[in-house]
Amino acid sequence: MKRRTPEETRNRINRLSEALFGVPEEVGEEEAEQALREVGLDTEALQERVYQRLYAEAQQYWKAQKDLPTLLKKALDDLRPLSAPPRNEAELARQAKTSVERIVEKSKLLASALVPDAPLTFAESYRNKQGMTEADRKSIDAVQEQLKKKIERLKGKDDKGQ
Amino acid sequence: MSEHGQLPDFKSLSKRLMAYGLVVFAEFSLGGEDAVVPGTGLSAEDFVAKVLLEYATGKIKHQKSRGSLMTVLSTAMRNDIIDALRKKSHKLEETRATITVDEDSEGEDHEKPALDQFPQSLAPDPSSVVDEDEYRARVRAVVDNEPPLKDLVEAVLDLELYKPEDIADALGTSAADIQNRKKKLRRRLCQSELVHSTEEEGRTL
Repeated sequence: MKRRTPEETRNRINRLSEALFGVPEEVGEEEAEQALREVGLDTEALQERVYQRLYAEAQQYWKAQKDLPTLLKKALDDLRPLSAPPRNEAELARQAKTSVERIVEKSKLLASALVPDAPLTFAESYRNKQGMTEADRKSIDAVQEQLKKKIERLKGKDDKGQ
Repeated sequence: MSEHGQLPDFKSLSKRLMAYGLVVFAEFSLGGEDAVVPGTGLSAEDFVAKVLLEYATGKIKHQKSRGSLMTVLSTAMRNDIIDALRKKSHKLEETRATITVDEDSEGEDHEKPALDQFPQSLAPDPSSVVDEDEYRARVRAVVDNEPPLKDLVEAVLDLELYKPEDIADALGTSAADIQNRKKKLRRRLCQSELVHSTEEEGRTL
Protein backbone atom coordinates (compact mmCIF):
# COMPACT_ATOMS: atom_id res chain seq x y z
CA MET A 1 0.00 0.00 0.00
CA LYS A 2 1.23 3.45 -0.91
CA ARG A 3 2.55 5.38 2.06
CA ARG A 4 1.11 8.87 2.04
CA THR A 5 2.89 12.03 3.10
CA PRO A 6 1.39 13.98 6.04
CA GLU A 7 0.20 16.61 3.56
CA GLU A 8 -1.60 14.03 1.45
CA THR A 9 -3.22 12.53 4.54
CA ARG A 10 -4.33 15.96 5.68
CA ASN A 11 -5.79 16.80 2.28
CA ARG A 12 -7.67 13.51 2.14
CA ILE A 13 -9.07 13.99 5.65
CA ASN A 14 -10.07 17.57 4.80
CA ARG A 15 -11.86 16.32 1.69
CA LEU A 16 -13.76 13.73 3.73
CA SER A 17 -14.57 16.36 6.35
CA GLU A 18 -16.08 18.71 3.77
CA ALA A 19 -18.15 15.93 2.25
CA LEU A 20 -19.38 14.71 5.64
CA PHE A 21 -19.66 17.82 7.79
CA GLY A 22 -19.85 20.57 5.18
CA VAL A 23 -17.68 23.60 4.60
CA PRO A 24 -17.06 26.10 7.42
CA GLU A 25 -19.17 28.71 5.62
CA GLU A 26 -22.23 26.56 6.31
CA VAL A 27 -21.90 27.12 10.07
CA GLY A 28 -24.23 30.08 10.47
CA GLU A 29 -24.56 32.31 13.50
CA GLU A 30 -27.75 30.63 14.70
CA GLU A 31 -26.25 27.16 14.45
CA ALA A 32 -23.10 28.40 16.16
CA GLU A 33 -25.05 29.83 19.10
CA GLN A 34 -26.95 26.58 19.50
CA ALA A 35 -23.76 24.51 19.34
CA LEU A 36 -22.04 26.68 21.94
CA ARG A 37 -25.09 26.50 24.22
CA GLU A 38 -25.08 22.72 23.95
CA VAL A 39 -21.52 22.43 25.20
CA GLY A 40 -22.33 24.90 27.98
CA LEU A 41 -20.20 27.70 26.61
CA ASP A 42 -21.15 31.26 27.54
CA THR A 43 -20.69 33.27 24.34
CA GLU A 44 -20.30 36.57 26.18
CA ALA A 45 -17.56 35.13 28.37
CA LEU A 46 -15.89 33.70 25.26
CA GLN A 47 -15.98 37.08 23.53
CA GLU A 48 -14.63 38.78 26.63
CA ARG A 49 -11.68 36.40 26.78
CA VAL A 50 -10.94 36.92 23.06
CA TYR A 51 -11.22 40.68 23.68
CA GLN A 52 -8.62 40.45 26.47
CA ARG A 53 -6.17 38.76 24.10
CA LEU A 54 -6.72 41.34 21.39
CA TYR A 55 -6.45 44.12 23.96
CA ALA A 56 -3.07 42.76 25.11
CA GLU A 57 -1.89 42.92 21.49
CA ALA A 58 -3.29 46.44 21.11
CA GLN A 59 -1.22 47.55 24.10
CA GLN A 60 1.95 46.81 22.13
CA TYR A 61 0.81 49.30 19.50
CA TRP A 62 -0.08 51.90 22.13
CA LYS A 63 3.25 51.47 23.89
CA ALA A 64 5.05 51.93 20.58
CA GLN A 65 2.78 54.95 19.89
CA LYS A 66 1.56 53.38 16.68
CA ASP A 67 -1.93 53.53 15.26
CA LEU A 68 -4.00 50.39 15.70
CA PRO A 69 -4.66 48.44 12.50
CA THR A 70 -8.24 49.16 11.35
CA LEU A 71 -9.31 45.54 11.79
CA LEU A 72 -7.89 45.31 15.31
CA LYS A 73 -9.71 48.50 16.27
CA LYS A 74 -12.95 47.14 14.83
CA ALA A 75 -12.44 43.81 16.62
CA LEU A 76 -11.93 45.59 19.95
CA ASP A 77 -15.02 47.74 19.37
CA ASP A 78 -17.15 44.72 18.47
CA LEU A 79 -15.97 42.47 21.28
CA ARG A 80 -15.74 45.13 24.00
CA PRO A 81 -17.51 43.63 27.03
CA LEU A 82 -20.45 45.41 28.60
CA SER A 83 -18.63 45.44 31.92
CA ALA A 84 -15.90 47.67 30.46
CA PRO A 85 -16.23 51.38 31.35
CA PRO A 86 -18.00 53.32 28.57
CA ARG A 87 -15.71 55.57 26.55
CA ASN A 88 -18.36 57.89 25.15
CA GLU A 89 -22.07 58.76 25.19
CA ALA A 90 -22.96 56.29 22.44
CA GLU A 91 -21.30 53.44 24.30
CA LEU A 92 -22.98 54.42 27.55
CA ALA A 93 -26.35 54.43 25.76
CA ARG A 94 -25.64 51.05 24.17
CA GLN A 95 -24.68 49.51 27.52
CA ALA A 96 -27.74 51.01 29.24
CA LYS A 97 -30.02 49.74 26.47
CA THR A 98 -28.59 46.23 26.67
CA SER A 99 -28.86 46.20 30.48
CA VAL A 100 -32.50 47.30 30.34
CA GLU A 101 -33.25 44.72 27.64
CA ARG A 102 -31.79 42.01 29.86
CA ILE A 103 -33.89 43.12 32.84
CA VAL A 104 -37.03 43.14 30.68
CA GLU A 105 -36.14 39.70 29.34
CA LYS A 106 -35.67 38.35 32.85
CA SER A 107 -38.93 39.89 34.09
CA LYS A 108 -40.74 38.35 31.12
CA LEU A 109 -39.35 34.98 32.02
CA LEU A 110 -40.43 35.51 35.62
CA ALA A 111 -43.90 36.63 34.54
CA SER A 112 -44.35 33.67 32.25
CA ALA A 113 -43.34 31.39 35.11
CA LEU A 114 -45.90 33.03 37.42
CA VAL A 115 -48.76 33.25 34.93
CA PRO A 116 -49.70 29.79 33.69
CA ASP A 117 -50.42 29.10 30.02
CA ALA A 118 -53.53 27.05 30.79
CA PRO A 119 -56.90 28.87 31.10
CA LEU A 120 -57.39 30.23 34.59
CA THR A 121 -60.02 28.79 36.90
CA PHE A 122 -60.77 30.46 40.20
CA ALA A 123 -61.65 28.57 43.35
CA GLU A 124 -65.17 29.80 43.93
CA SER A 125 -65.65 28.55 47.46
CA TYR A 126 -67.34 31.82 48.42
CA ARG A 127 -70.41 30.72 46.48
CA ASN A 128 -71.34 28.28 49.23
CA LYS A 129 -70.70 30.69 52.07
CA GLN A 130 -73.67 31.42 54.24
CA GLY A 131 -74.81 34.92 54.90
CA MET A 132 -73.71 36.34 51.56
CA THR A 133 -76.14 38.51 49.70
CA GLU A 134 -76.71 38.46 45.98
CA ALA A 135 -74.98 41.83 45.77
CA ASP A 136 -71.90 40.42 47.54
CA ARG A 137 -71.73 37.57 45.06
CA LYS A 138 -72.07 39.96 42.14
CA SER A 139 -69.26 42.12 43.52
CA ILE A 140 -66.96 39.14 43.95
CA ASP A 141 -67.87 37.83 40.49
CA ALA A 142 -67.01 41.24 39.05
CA VAL A 143 -63.63 41.27 40.82
CA GLN A 144 -62.98 37.76 39.53
CA GLU A 145 -63.85 38.83 35.99
CA GLN A 146 -61.61 41.89 36.23
CA LEU A 147 -58.74 39.76 37.49
CA LYS A 148 -59.18 37.28 34.67
CA LYS A 149 -59.18 40.06 32.07
CA LYS A 150 -56.14 41.70 33.61
CA ILE A 151 -54.17 38.44 33.55
CA GLU A 152 -55.28 37.69 29.99
CA ARG A 153 -54.13 41.19 28.97
CA LEU A 154 -50.76 40.63 30.63
CA LYS A 155 -50.38 37.27 28.91
CA GLY A 156 -51.31 38.84 25.58
CA LYS A 157 -48.64 41.52 25.99
CA ASP A 158 -46.14 38.92 27.03
CA ASP A 159 -46.86 36.80 23.95
CA LYS A 160 -46.54 39.79 21.63
CA GLY A 161 -43.30 40.79 23.27
CA GLN A 162 -41.72 37.39 22.63
CA MET B 1 -11.79 43.81 5.24
CA SER B 2 -14.45 41.28 4.38
CA GLU B 3 -15.16 39.90 0.96
CA HIS B 4 -17.51 42.82 0.31
CA GLY B 5 -14.98 45.44 1.30
CA GLN B 6 -16.78 46.00 4.60
CA LEU B 7 -15.35 45.44 8.03
CA PRO B 8 -16.53 42.12 9.46
CA ASP B 9 -18.68 41.61 12.54
CA PHE B 10 -16.20 40.10 14.98
CA LYS B 11 -18.89 39.02 17.43
CA SER B 12 -20.54 36.83 14.83
CA LEU B 13 -17.19 35.67 13.48
CA SER B 14 -15.90 34.60 16.90
CA LYS B 15 -19.05 32.54 17.59
CA ARG B 16 -18.99 30.83 14.19
CA LEU B 17 -15.27 30.11 14.41
CA MET B 18 -15.67 28.68 17.89
CA ALA B 19 -18.52 26.42 16.76
CA TYR B 20 -16.45 25.25 13.80
CA GLY B 21 -13.42 24.77 16.07
CA LEU B 22 -15.49 22.46 18.27
CA VAL B 23 -16.45 20.42 15.20
CA VAL B 24 -12.79 20.07 14.19
CA PHE B 25 -11.84 19.12 17.74
CA ALA B 26 -14.61 16.51 17.79
CA GLU B 27 -13.42 15.14 14.42
CA PHE B 28 -10.15 14.33 16.16
CA SER B 29 -11.73 12.89 19.30
CA LEU B 30 -11.43 16.01 21.41
CA GLY B 31 -14.81 16.76 22.95
CA GLY B 32 -16.33 19.49 25.09
CA GLU B 33 -15.46 23.13 25.68
CA ASP B 34 -12.56 22.24 28.01
CA ALA B 35 -10.88 19.85 25.57
CA VAL B 36 -7.25 20.57 24.69
CA VAL B 37 -4.77 19.14 22.21
CA PRO B 38 -2.94 16.59 24.40
CA GLY B 39 0.42 17.79 25.61
CA THR B 40 0.00 21.33 24.33
CA GLY B 41 -2.83 22.58 26.53
CA LEU B 42 -4.29 24.41 23.53
CA SER B 43 -8.08 24.63 23.46
CA ALA B 44 -10.42 25.42 20.56
CA GLU B 45 -10.71 28.92 22.01
CA ASP B 46 -6.92 29.36 21.79
CA PHE B 47 -7.02 28.54 18.09
CA VAL B 48 -9.97 30.90 17.51
CA ALA B 49 -8.18 33.75 19.29
CA LYS B 50 -5.00 33.06 17.32
CA VAL B 51 -6.60 33.31 13.88
CA LEU B 52 -8.66 36.33 14.86
CA LEU B 53 -5.55 38.05 16.15
CA GLU B 54 -3.58 37.16 13.02
CA TYR B 55 -6.37 38.49 10.84
CA ALA B 56 -6.84 41.66 12.91
CA THR B 57 -3.12 42.45 12.74
CA GLY B 58 -2.80 41.69 9.03
CA LYS B 59 -0.85 38.43 9.28
CA ILE B 60 -3.71 36.61 7.59
CA LYS B 61 -5.05 38.46 4.56
CA HIS B 62 -8.45 37.84 3.13
CA GLN B 63 -8.46 37.59 -0.63
CA LYS B 64 -11.74 37.05 -2.44
CA SER B 65 -10.22 34.35 -4.62
CA ARG B 66 -9.70 32.17 -1.54
CA GLY B 67 -13.38 32.19 -0.56
CA SER B 68 -15.30 33.97 2.18
CA LEU B 69 -13.61 35.36 5.27
CA MET B 70 -15.11 32.55 7.36
CA THR B 71 -13.63 30.01 4.94
CA VAL B 72 -10.17 31.59 5.03
CA LEU B 73 -10.03 31.86 8.82
CA SER B 74 -11.55 28.43 9.43
CA THR B 75 -9.10 26.79 7.05
CA ALA B 76 -6.18 28.48 8.80
CA MET B 77 -7.55 27.37 12.16
CA ARG B 78 -8.13 23.80 11.00
CA ASN B 79 -4.56 23.59 9.70
CA ASP B 80 -3.24 24.95 13.02
CA ILE B 81 -5.19 22.31 14.96
CA ILE B 82 -3.99 19.45 12.75
CA ASP B 83 -0.40 20.77 12.93
CA ALA B 84 -0.60 20.87 16.72
CA LEU B 85 -1.91 17.30 16.82
CA ARG B 86 0.78 16.13 14.44
CA LYS B 87 3.64 17.95 16.17
CA LYS B 88 2.58 16.42 19.44
CA SER B 89 2.53 12.94 17.94
CA HIS B 90 6.05 13.43 16.48
CA LYS B 91 7.33 14.67 19.80
CA LEU B 92 5.89 11.65 21.55
CA GLU B 93 7.47 9.28 19.03
CA GLU B 94 10.86 10.92 19.52
CA THR B 95 10.76 10.92 23.30
CA ARG B 96 8.99 7.62 23.91
CA ALA B 97 11.54 5.42 25.70
CA THR B 98 11.31 1.67 25.60
CA ILE B 99 10.24 0.41 28.97
CA THR B 100 11.52 -3.05 29.70
CA VAL B 101 11.28 -5.02 32.87
CA ASP B 102 13.43 -8.10 33.10
CA GLU B 103 11.34 -10.33 35.34
CA ASP B 104 13.82 -13.21 35.14
CA SER B 105 16.88 -11.41 36.39
CA GLU B 106 17.43 -12.49 39.94
CA GLY B 107 19.48 -10.97 42.61
CA GLU B 108 19.56 -7.60 40.93
CA ASP B 109 18.07 -4.74 42.81
CA HIS B 110 16.41 -2.88 39.97
CA GLU B 111 13.59 -0.39 40.23
CA LYS B 112 10.34 -1.08 38.47
CA PRO B 113 9.18 1.70 36.17
CA ALA B 114 6.66 4.11 37.64
CA LEU B 115 3.05 3.65 36.53
CA ASP B 116 2.92 6.96 34.74
CA GLN B 117 5.76 5.85 32.47
CA PHE B 118 3.39 3.44 30.76
CA PRO B 119 1.03 4.78 28.09
CA GLN B 120 -2.43 5.57 29.48
CA SER B 121 -4.95 3.16 28.05
CA LEU B 122 -7.77 5.73 28.01
CA ALA B 123 -5.85 8.53 26.31
CA PRO B 124 -6.12 8.61 22.51
CA ASP B 125 -2.89 7.67 20.84
CA PRO B 126 -1.77 10.97 19.28
CA SER B 127 0.11 9.22 16.49
CA SER B 128 -3.16 7.72 15.23
CA VAL B 129 -5.29 10.84 15.59
CA VAL B 130 -4.27 12.27 12.21
CA ASP B 131 -4.64 8.94 10.45
CA GLU B 132 -7.20 8.45 7.69
CA ASP B 133 -8.31 4.96 8.74
CA GLU B 134 -8.74 6.07 12.34
CA TYR B 135 -10.66 9.10 11.13
CA ARG B 136 -13.03 6.92 9.08
CA ALA B 137 -13.57 4.57 12.03
CA ARG B 138 -14.37 7.47 14.36
CA VAL B 139 -16.94 8.91 11.95
CA ARG B 140 -18.64 5.52 11.48
CA ALA B 141 -18.89 5.06 15.24
CA VAL B 142 -20.78 8.36 15.59
CA VAL B 143 -23.68 7.28 13.35
CA ASP B 144 -24.00 3.68 14.35
CA ASN B 145 -27.79 3.55 14.62
CA GLU B 146 -29.06 6.51 12.62
CA PRO B 147 -30.03 5.45 9.08
CA PRO B 148 -30.19 8.87 7.35
CA LEU B 149 -26.81 9.90 8.76
CA LYS B 150 -25.35 6.44 8.28
CA ASP B 151 -26.38 6.54 4.59
CA LEU B 152 -24.55 9.83 4.16
CA VAL B 153 -21.43 8.49 5.87
CA GLU B 154 -21.45 5.33 3.76
CA ALA B 155 -21.94 7.30 0.54
CA VAL B 156 -18.85 9.37 1.33
CA LEU B 157 -16.62 6.73 2.89
CA ASP B 158 -17.56 3.68 0.83
CA LEU B 159 -18.77 5.08 -2.49
CA GLU B 160 -16.29 7.97 -2.38
CA LEU B 161 -18.92 10.54 -3.34
CA TYR B 162 -17.98 14.05 -2.28
CA LYS B 163 -20.36 16.49 -3.98
CA PRO B 164 -23.80 16.97 -2.36
CA GLU B 165 -25.47 16.45 -5.76
CA ASP B 166 -23.71 13.11 -6.30
CA ILE B 167 -24.53 11.93 -2.78
CA ALA B 168 -28.15 13.03 -3.24
CA ASP B 169 -28.42 11.07 -6.51
CA ALA B 170 -27.01 7.93 -4.91
CA LEU B 171 -29.37 8.18 -1.95
CA GLY B 172 -32.41 9.21 -4.00
CA THR B 173 -32.92 12.51 -2.23
CA SER B 174 -32.27 16.21 -2.79
CA ALA B 175 -29.03 18.14 -2.36
CA ALA B 176 -30.82 20.32 0.21
CA ASP B 177 -31.59 17.22 2.26
CA ILE B 178 -27.92 16.25 2.14
CA GLN B 179 -26.98 19.70 3.45
CA ASN B 180 -29.44 19.18 6.31
CA ARG B 181 -27.95 15.81 7.10
CA LYS B 182 -24.48 17.34 7.20
CA LYS B 183 -25.73 19.90 9.69
CA LYS B 184 -27.20 17.09 11.83
CA LEU B 185 -23.97 15.15 11.54
CA ARG B 186 -21.96 18.14 12.80
CA ARG B 187 -24.26 18.32 15.79
CA ARG B 188 -24.23 14.58 16.40
CA LEU B 189 -20.42 14.54 16.25
CA CYS B 190 -20.08 17.26 18.90
CA GLN B 191 -22.73 15.65 21.11
CA SER B 192 -21.07 12.23 20.91
CA GLU B 193 -17.69 13.68 21.81
CA LEU B 194 -19.27 15.60 24.67
CA VAL B 195 -20.80 12.39 26.05
CA HIS B 196 -17.52 10.57 25.49
CA SER B 197 -15.48 13.22 27.34
CA THR B 198 -17.98 13.26 30.23
CA GLU B 199 -17.70 9.49 30.54
CA GLU B 200 -13.91 9.68 30.53
CA GLU B 201 -14.02 12.35 33.25
CA GLY B 202 -16.29 10.12 35.30
CA ARG B 203 -13.87 7.21 34.96
CA THR B 204 -10.86 9.27 36.02
CA LEU B 205 -12.57 10.73 39.09
